[in-house]
Amino acid sequence: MPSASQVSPQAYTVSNFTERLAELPDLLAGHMRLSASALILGVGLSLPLGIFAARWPRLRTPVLGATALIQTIPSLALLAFMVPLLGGRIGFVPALIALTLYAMLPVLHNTVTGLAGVDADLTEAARGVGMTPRQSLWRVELPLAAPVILAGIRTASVWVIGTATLATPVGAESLGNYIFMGLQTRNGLAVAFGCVAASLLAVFFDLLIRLLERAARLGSPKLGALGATGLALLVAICLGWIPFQGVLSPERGDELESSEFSSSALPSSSETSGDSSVSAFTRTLTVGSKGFTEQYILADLIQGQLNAAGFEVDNLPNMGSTILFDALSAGTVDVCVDYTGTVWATILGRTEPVARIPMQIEVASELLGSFGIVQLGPLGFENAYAFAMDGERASELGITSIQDLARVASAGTELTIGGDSEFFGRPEWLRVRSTYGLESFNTKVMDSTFLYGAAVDGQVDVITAYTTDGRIDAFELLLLDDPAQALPPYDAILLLSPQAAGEPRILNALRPLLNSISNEAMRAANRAVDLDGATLTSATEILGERIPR
Amino acid sequence: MALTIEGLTKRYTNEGPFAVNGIDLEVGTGEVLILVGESGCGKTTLLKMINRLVAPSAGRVLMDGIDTTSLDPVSLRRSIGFVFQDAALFPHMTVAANVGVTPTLLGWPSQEVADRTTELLQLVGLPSATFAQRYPRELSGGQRQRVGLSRALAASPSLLLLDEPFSALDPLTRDRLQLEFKSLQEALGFTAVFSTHDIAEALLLAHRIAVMREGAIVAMGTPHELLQTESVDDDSAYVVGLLATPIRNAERLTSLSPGVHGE
Repeated sequence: MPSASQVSPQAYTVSNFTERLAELPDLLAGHMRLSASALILGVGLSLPLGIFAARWPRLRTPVLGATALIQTIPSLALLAFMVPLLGGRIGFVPALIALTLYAMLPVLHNTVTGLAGVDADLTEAARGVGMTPRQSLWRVELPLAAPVILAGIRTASVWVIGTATLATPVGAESLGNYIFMGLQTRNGLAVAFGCVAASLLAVFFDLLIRLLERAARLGSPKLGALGATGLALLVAICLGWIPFQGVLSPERGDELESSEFSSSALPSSSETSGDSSVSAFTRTLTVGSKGFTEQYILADLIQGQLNAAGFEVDNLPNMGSTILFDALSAGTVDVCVDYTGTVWATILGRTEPVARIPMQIEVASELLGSFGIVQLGPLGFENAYAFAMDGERASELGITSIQDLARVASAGTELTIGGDSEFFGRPEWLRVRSTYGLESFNTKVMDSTFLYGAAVDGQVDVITAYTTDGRIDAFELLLLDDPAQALPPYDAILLLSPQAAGEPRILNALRPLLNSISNEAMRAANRAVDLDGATLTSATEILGERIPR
Repeated sequence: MALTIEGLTKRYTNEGPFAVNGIDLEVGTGEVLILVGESGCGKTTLLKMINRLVAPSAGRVLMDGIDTTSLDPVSLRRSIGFVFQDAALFPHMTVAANVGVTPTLLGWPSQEVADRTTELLQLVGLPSATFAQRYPRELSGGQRQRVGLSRALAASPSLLLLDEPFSALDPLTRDRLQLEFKSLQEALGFTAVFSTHDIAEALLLAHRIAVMREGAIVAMGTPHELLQTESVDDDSAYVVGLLATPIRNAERLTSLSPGVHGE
C-alpha cells in the first residue's frame, strides 16, 4: 500500500527543476528589471511628494493616509487588481504599477519624517546665512534627512524585490515563476531556489543602499561614490543597458533544440499546418496557463503544436484564473485551456446545474457573444471535483458511489469528508449534500496538498479530489460515481482570443488536440510530473504521442 | 553701517504677550551694541527681526536710512553676518564649506571663496591646513564657535548680529573668545549687535549697553554711564541689581578663600 512517506521524497526531484534552471537568466533579468523600474518610479514619485508633504503639513495626512491605505491591500490582490483596471493588460506594466505603488509608502513616510526631523536651528541657520527655501532644501535639509530617506528606500527595495515574486500570476516574468511552479508541482527545490534567489537579490540591494546610508551619515563622499557606483551598475544591468544574459547562459540554444516541439526539430511542420506559404500573421503568439501542473503540460503541448506550424510562441505560466480570462478577452493572451464548470460559475456567474453537453454549448455561445472568445472544442478530459476514498476501505465498506456514502452512514458508520477551503463554500457541495442526503457528515478543511495523504492514513474517510490528479492513481484511491450528476462537469476546453481565432493556420495547428486526451492520459501525465519527478517536456511528449498527425 | 530701529514690535500670536514691545534704537557705524537681559526678555527676537528671520508685527528697521522691508530678505541676510547660539554649523559640511557658505551663495568664484576661507580661519586661530577639511563633530565647542564667527564674517558684512555667541562655552574658552572678538571688531570695524545674559561680558565688549526687560529697553548707555545708575524706581533697581552680580560673585569668592586656605 502506498503511503505519503513513500511518495513525497520522490516528488522533490531535481530533474524537473534542472529543466527550468535554463530560464534563470531570463527570469532573473525580468525580476531585476521589474524591481529596479518600480523602485526608480516609486522613489521618483514619492520623493517630491514627500517634500511637498513636509512643506505643507496640510498635505501630510491625506498623502500618507492614501499610501498607507494602498499598503494595506494584500500585494497579490493589488497586482491582480491592476489587470482589469488596465483593460486586461498583463505582464510588465500592471506589475510595475502595483509594485510602484507598493514602493511609495516607505519612501514617502521616511522623506516626510526625515525632513521634519531636521534640527530647526539648522534650517534657521540656513535661512540666516542667506539661503533661499530651495537652497535650504537641497543644501541642508535633504542631505541631513538623507540617511532616513535612504533607509526608506532600502525598505522599499526589499519589499519590492520580495513582492515582485508575486508578479508571476499577472504574467510578468520573475523569480516567482520558480516559486509558483514549485508549489504547484510540489517541487521543494524550485520553491527554495526562487526564494533564495529573490532574497539574495534583496540582500544585495540592501547592502548597496546601506553603504550609501552610511556614507550620508558619516558625510563620506568616498563611501558614497562606492555605493552609488555599485547601485548604478546594478540598476543598469537590471534595465538591460548592460547585457549579461549571454554571459550567464551560453547554452540556451541547446535547451531549445532538445525540445521535441521546437519548429526546427519537426520537419513535418508544413504538413501539419497544411499551409506552407509565408503567412501574413507574424506576431508572436502567447499561450497562457494557470498555476498547476496540468496547465503547464497543456501549455507546453499547445506551444509545440504552434511551433510546429511555424509560429513564435511565448509561454506565460502561473496566471490567475480571472486574469487569464481578462487577458484572453483583451487579446494579450492568444490561447489557453479553461474548464466549462469554471467559466460557467466564475465568468458567466451561473449557479443552476446543467448537463455536460448543454453546458459546453452555452459556454461556447456566451463566450463568443459576450467576449468574442472562441471555444475551439473540448480536449477530451475533465478536471472536475469528485469524491474519492482509499480503495481498500471503499471495498471493505462496499462503497462505489456517493449514494453508497449515505447508505453506510445511515447504517451507523460515522464518516468525515475532507476538502480544501474553497470546496465547502461552493454551490456544488450544497447540491451534493442535499441530493445524496449527506447533511450529517462531518467536514474537515485542509490544504489540498495534504488531502490525499489524509485519506490514505484514515484521518478522513472521503476527500474531494480532482479527476485528473495524479495522486488518485498513486495513492490507489477510488473515485466515487455520481449517478445523480450533482457535481457539475468541468470539461477542458481550448479557448482562443478573438484575434487568434481569425487566423486559420492557428486553428489548423490546434484542432488535432481536440478530443485527444482522456482522463486517464491526463492523470498519468500529471502523475509523471507531480509524483515521479518527470520533466514537463517528457510528460508533454507522452501526451503528444496521442495526438493524430 | 548705521542701524536705526523704530517702534519694533513682535507678538507671536494676536492676543499673546509682546515678545518685543516698541523698541527704538540707534547703532552707529562701527559701534558694538550689547543687549543684556534674562532669557525670554526678547533679545533674540529683536536680533532676528533685524535680518528678517522673524517678521515684525509693527515698526521698522533702517540700514543706512533704507527700510529693510524694501529689500529682498535673502539678499539682506547675505549682507548681514549672524552668529548663532551653539554655532549651528551644518554638520554635513566641512569647516571650509561652512565658512564659505555665504560667499558661495553670492556666486563668488571658488578660488576666491577658498582664499577667503583660509584667511578667516587664520584670523580666528584655526590654521586652515589642519581644520579646513574637518567636520563640525570633530571640533571642540570653542573651535565650533570660532568657525561660526568666521562663517558670519565670510562675506565681509558691515553688520554682524550675535545671539549669545559665547554663553555655552566653558569660562576659559569664553574669556579667550571675548578678547578675540574685541580685537577682531577693532581690526575690521564692523557694526555689531550682540546679545548676552552675562553683564560682565557686556561691560567688557560693548560700546553701549541696552538692558532689556520683558520686551522693552529699560536702560541704555555706555558701560561707564550704566555703572553710574542709581536705584530710583523698579527698572533702575533691576539694572543696579544686574550690575552688582559680578561684584557680588567676586565677594562670594573672596569670602570663600580663607576657608579654602585654612583647610
